[in-house]
Amino acid sequence: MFIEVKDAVKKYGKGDALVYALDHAELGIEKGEICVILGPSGSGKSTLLNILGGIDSPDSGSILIDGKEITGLKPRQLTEYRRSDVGFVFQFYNLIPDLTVRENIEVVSDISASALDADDIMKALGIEKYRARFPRELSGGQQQRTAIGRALIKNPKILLCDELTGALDSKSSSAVLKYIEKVNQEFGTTIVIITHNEDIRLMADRIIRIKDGKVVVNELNSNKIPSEKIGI
Amino acid sequence: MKKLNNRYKRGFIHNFSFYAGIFFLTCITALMYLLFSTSVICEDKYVHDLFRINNVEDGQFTTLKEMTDDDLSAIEEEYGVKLERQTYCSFEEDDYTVRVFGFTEKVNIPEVTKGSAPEEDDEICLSQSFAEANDIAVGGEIELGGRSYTVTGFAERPDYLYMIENQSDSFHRASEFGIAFVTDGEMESFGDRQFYYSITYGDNGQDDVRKYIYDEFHTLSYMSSDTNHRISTPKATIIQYSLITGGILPALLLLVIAIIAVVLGRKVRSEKKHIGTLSALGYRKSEISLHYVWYALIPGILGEAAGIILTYIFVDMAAGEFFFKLEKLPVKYTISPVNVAIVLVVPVAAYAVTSLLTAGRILKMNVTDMLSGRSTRGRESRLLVESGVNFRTKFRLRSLLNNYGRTIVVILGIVVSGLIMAMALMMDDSCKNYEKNVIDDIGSFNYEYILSYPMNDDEQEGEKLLSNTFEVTGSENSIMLTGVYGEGSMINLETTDGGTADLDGKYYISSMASAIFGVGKGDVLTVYDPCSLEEYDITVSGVINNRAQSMMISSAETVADLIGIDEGYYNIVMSEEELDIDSSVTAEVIEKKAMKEMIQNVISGMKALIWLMVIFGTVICAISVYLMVNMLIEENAVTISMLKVLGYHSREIDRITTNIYHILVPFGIVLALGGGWLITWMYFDFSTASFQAQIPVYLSAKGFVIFIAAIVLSYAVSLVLLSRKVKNINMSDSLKSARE
Repeated sequence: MFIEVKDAVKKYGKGDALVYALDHAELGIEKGEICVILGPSGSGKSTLLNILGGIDSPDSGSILIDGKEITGLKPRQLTEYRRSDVGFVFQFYNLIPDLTVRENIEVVSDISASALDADDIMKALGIEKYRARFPRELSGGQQQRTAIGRALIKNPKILLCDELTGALDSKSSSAVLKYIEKVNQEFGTTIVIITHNEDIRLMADRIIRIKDGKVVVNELNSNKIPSEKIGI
Repeated sequence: MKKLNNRYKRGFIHNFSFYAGIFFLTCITALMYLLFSTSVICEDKYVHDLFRINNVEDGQFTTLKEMTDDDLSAIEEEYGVKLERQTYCSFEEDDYTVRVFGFTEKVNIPEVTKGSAPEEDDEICLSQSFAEANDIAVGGEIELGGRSYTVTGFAERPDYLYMIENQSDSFHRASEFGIAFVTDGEMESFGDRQFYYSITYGDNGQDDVRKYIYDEFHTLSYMSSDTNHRISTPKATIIQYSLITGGILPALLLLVIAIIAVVLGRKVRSEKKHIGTLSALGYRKSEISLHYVWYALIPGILGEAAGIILTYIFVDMAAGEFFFKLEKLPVKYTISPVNVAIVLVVPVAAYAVTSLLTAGRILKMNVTDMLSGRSTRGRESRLLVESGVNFRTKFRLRSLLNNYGRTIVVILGIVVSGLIMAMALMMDDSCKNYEKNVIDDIGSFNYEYILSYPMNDDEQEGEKLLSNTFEVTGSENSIMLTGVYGEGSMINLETTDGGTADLDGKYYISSMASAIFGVGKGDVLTVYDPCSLEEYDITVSGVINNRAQSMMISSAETVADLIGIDEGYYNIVMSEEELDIDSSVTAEVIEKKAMKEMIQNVISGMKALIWLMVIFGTVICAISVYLMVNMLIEENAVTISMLKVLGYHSREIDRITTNIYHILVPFGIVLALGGGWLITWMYFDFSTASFQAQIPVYLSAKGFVIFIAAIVLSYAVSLVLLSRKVKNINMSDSLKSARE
């Protein structure tokens, strides 16, 4: 498995307020898969994504990425991991407002040893003509594509998407998912999407369901259909 | 609202250092303002009351023909003046000189400030600063002229509040000179008594009575109270300090308050989402505004209260220190209720208004915009958009330009805090530089003997000069006209334009006098003889580089002709070595070394005040900078956490976000230095006449290093202290808050 989560536990609070965000979670994702993680609010989806991305750590258990254990890494090593291996896309884009589309993408290429060409990325995502615009001058879909470009420019091993269509209308959502699919096909990037939207599971190679911090379903999707055919 | 207000305690604990900074800065600001203003108001009142009630003289004079008691009474009746003989006797002991007076009844009436007046002939009252400097307490003993006296109390004369032995002295030396008072009987027993007359004028003016006295009794010397440094210096000091209290200090304090208010306003702005949430929950605008106003008011009110309490505790101990130049007076320091009200109202009003305005501006937004945290600011700067410059440079520049309010606040914070420190260091260094370098402007002589009357002894050693003091029309200051025989080898004749003064029939003015009277080359200065009141128009041919004496220089022949004396006469002798001149003909001996010691005295007197200013400045600097950096980090929290998520290391993040403000530090430093220089220059320029010294503003390399180090250290320590805050910015929390 390219991504392996073994017996991961993450707790918040104490005593009566103790909550298991991850309760001995187990899962595995193969390289190059699009994996959609579904679950209700508070089920532990975001915690799992944060732990996979190295911005949070489990209290116990093991997280293996491409055979490398990341749970015991020091902060500096975790930074290096995020720098080279992981790309993030967030629901509210989290672009830097003082930078243009191109510059937001360059924020990552600037620290990446194997950065792709920014123009190629922008062309692939259809945002080349907005290159000199600031985030507030863009629609939500255009901003999210910029965020995807920023995540992809370093050619990451894993692309982690947190409710990436959550703030978008259906037309923009559809367009963004199309680009995600394209990225997966062109770059072979392993993509993990967490979402509430049941329809997105249809484009996944693998579907994982989480409830109360436990992985209740981890299955391959034998009926995968292209995103453009999903009615989002 | 009650439940909502539970946030205050948690908010203050969560942002403890921020609110502690506001508390301390407000406290220090209130303390500084109240201490200084209380000191100035109370000293001013005491001194002016003493001048009025104890009838300080308007002028003093000596005459060739002695005036009898009947003469004095007749003049008083005829001209509506008060006129009294002032008899004194000077005792030069090994370590000090004491000038002993009797108890006058009409003019310059002594004020017993502690203990009681002497009743027996072996009893004496001393001036307090002199007594304390020599460890003499009430009930103690002092020996004068071989006779022992019991000290019954401390007393002051209104014309000796600035206790200088000679009018040419720049600064007082409490341990070396003082005055004393004995009974009339004891005064009569002194053999070597001297006297002069003191006068206060009535409604009829002074010209007629002065002319009458000159005509009838032939006035030999006359000195008005305006030119008498013992009287004019207290007045000038109060005016200087009133200027600082009424202008510079409030301006500085308002700037500090403005900075705090802006920082608090930005803090409220960062609460946009919470304000949106409260709006969505149905809270009224007034309730929300009030809730946020208290975040500003609580540390503000506590800071003010602490400042006021500290003022009450320290006022008696500290307020008198500002007037270290003057005699110690039993001033009762009462803190003005108006100033307490100002301190109570102004800071919190500024904080409250800023918080209200900020909250009000946010509340005008659409609730969904508030909840999404969408920015309301204008367009981003398109600076370098299409250029190939690295994104980091673009980001830094745009952060500074797009957040120009924040940029200005950071610069202002550094300027205000640096200004106080710069002023203190410049004052210290300027005095030291003056003592070390500027006093030598006066010439190469080490001893200056001022004779009691003109002489023409050809055998006299040393360089002879002829001098006369004139009053200047339209000015409260006098000027000494000095005539030089021949080339004048010991007196400095170098002009400010680099040449040498050609004295033949011409008049040159010293640069200090030029500053005091506002005249330069080609200008006409109208002077008059203080005895005869005869006026002369003198054209200034040039300015001589002398910042230590207020004087005009010409040839001795020209001066002799002007004052109507035969050529060859002199009344000043200068020498590099000490001369053996009969003390009976010497009115005063000025040593260059003593002039330097006087400057050292003023430096040591000012030392506590200067270092108090440096410490206050450093504390204000450190807290202001800490608040600035704290604000920068909080406002950049989302960007910082995003950069962390993207894989940036802490140092890289610092370089992009917080370190961009490094560039503002030099700007702040330059502006603080410039402002400090200007205020110090204004202070010394205004004080030229009262200090009898034109002190050029100077900052030594050491002072410069201390200044830079204090600001840079404050900034660096703030960054280090707050770097933990950068490290502790939780990526998932920040991203969550960006999402909420």
